[in-house]
Amino acid sequence: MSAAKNIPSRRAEWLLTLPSLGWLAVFFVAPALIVFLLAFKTADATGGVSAGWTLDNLRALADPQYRPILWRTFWISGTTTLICLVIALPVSFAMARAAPRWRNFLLLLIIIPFWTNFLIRVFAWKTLLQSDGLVSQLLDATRLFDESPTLLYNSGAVLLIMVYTQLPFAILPLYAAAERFDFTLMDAARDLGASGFRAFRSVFIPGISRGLGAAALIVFVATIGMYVVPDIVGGTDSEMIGNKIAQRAQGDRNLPLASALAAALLFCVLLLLILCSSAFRRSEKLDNALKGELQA
Amino acid sequence: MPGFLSFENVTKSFGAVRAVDDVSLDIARGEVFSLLGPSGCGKTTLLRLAAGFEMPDSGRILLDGHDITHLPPETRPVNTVFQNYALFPHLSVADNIAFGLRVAGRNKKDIAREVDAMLDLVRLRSEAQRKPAQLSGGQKQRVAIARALVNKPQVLLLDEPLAALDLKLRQHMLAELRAIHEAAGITFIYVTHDQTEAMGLSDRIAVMNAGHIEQLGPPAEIYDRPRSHFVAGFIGDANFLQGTISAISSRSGCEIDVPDFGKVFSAEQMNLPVGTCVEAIIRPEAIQLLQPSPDVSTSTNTCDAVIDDIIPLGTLTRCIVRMNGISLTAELPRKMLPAGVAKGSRVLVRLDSASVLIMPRNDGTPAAGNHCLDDDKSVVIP
Repeated sequence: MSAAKNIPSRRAEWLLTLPSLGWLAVFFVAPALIVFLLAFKTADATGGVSAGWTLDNLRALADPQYRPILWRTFWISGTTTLICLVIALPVSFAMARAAPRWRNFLLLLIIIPFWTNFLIRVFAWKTLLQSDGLVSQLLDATRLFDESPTLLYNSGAVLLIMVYTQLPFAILPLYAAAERFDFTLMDAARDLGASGFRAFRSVFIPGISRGLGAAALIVFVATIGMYVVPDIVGGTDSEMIGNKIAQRAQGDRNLPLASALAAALLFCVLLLLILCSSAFRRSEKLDNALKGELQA
Repeated sequence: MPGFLSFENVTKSFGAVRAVDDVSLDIARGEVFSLLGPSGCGKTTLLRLAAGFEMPDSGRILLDGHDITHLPPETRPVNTVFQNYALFPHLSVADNIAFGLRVAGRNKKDIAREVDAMLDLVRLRSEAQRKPAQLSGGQKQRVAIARALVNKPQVLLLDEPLAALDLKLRQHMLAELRAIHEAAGITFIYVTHDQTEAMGLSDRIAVMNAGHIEQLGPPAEIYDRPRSHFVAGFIGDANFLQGTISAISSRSGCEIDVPDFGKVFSAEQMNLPVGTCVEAIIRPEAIQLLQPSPDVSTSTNTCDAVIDDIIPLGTLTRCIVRMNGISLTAELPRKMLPAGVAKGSRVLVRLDSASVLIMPRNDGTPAAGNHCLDDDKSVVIP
């Protein structure tokens, strides 16, 4: 009976999923495949792609010049993710604890920056941080420094603006998790002798661990391929792999090598995603298995 | 009685609502004390004030002579069993129980030993490694109790701990709570809206209404001698008859005139003058139903009536009887019903004069169609 009932509903499921599958295929799978295939081609003199296949681009990835850049890409992304989470955790906690009429207002404040174009916001930061900019003038006024420090064109600036641009993407999933969190658990922890901070650490953070995982993944994946921020506010010592891909594609007009770099990055990110989702699924499966055992 | 846990003129408002209104209360060491009342009566707020989750606007809270009014919850030697248990979902049963001991920085061996002792007390040894999501309602309840008791609190606060359980389990857990109280020997404060839970567990009950305590006393006293209309109506079922005192006997009680019923005699000694508007309170089990017979029909405490409805309740049968303009609910064992009685039968209602309670009508209860009210009107409108 249930099987007969399932057939039309399964067909309906497929039909309903088809548009999004099509969208993914055209705009995500196909470009990724093209990039992947291009990585095995050679560039011709005019910037095009010549016929024939080669593994030279993959070998070129071993070039020692990429190693420090790859390393820097990972630590800047990792640090950005960490700082975003450290800031977003108390913010999402406070938002979820705020009176309901305040919550939407606070949420609006988080979303407002999106009304301005990303590039414009990055350029706005550049204006703020430049040598005669507002921040420099304020620092000069404090007379803490003999010589006003350089605020732009270094890894610090890249990190600051990366955190600024990614913070909402950390706050939103954490807030979604915090809003569903049962805050009587915090009362219970306090009741059992935990300080406010201990309750936050031992009960709130584990309670929103899924949201934490989602936030970390979103921020990390978004920053690891970042190109605009290091390009505008970074210097030569803060280049990321995204900048190298752009240089190969636009400067050297070597699309195959750029593709090889992009494919390598994509591969790293995919690997991370697979690891995370399988960890999620394992914990879920364990929960379900134990639940099933109880019901049996 | 010197209080072990005392509330002194405690008031707490939320916005314009006075959740707890100038409450003073002394709870003795080792007793099971229930705060009983309908939702919104302030009982949970009073408990949260004791736990430290709320701070009073005025008044003091003393525990064993120490002022704990403004101590944060983590430094108070009291622990709470929450209404929906509030077990930590990411921790196993054993880790939930160990939480308080770990926070207190106890050493691993002590923690293991005390957690084991608690698991035995609440009989959850084989579930020690389960997560709360894998437990039944009764098991979660026992974990919540163990998690609180393991810290050896001076007072255990229980916030409607059985509300989420079904009837059978509730009765079982009530017996278990009694046994745990016996074993732990500490003071319990038990918040509930369920009178049978409160009556079955408590040494004393405070019936709360609208932020204040209506009546405080042992369960039997609260049931037998309710001191207000609210308490009489909230604890058990009660019939209310409006009347006026028509005669007083200093030794045997008083007689009141109830329109539509006749003379009702109460054995209660009332210090009220003849003519006072009063309310007679009669428990459903204090009403007898008899075969109608002409010789008793006019005597005191009896009245001719018609059965409106008969509802079997199991051991008892509930009868709704109507006489002229009023109706009464009687509950009596099936055997005590007059033979052949059915819907529409004529019966004779007799009230047990020892069980008729009288109280002055000063709490503004509406009494439509009562001649007392009509008298009042005739005074107001000349």
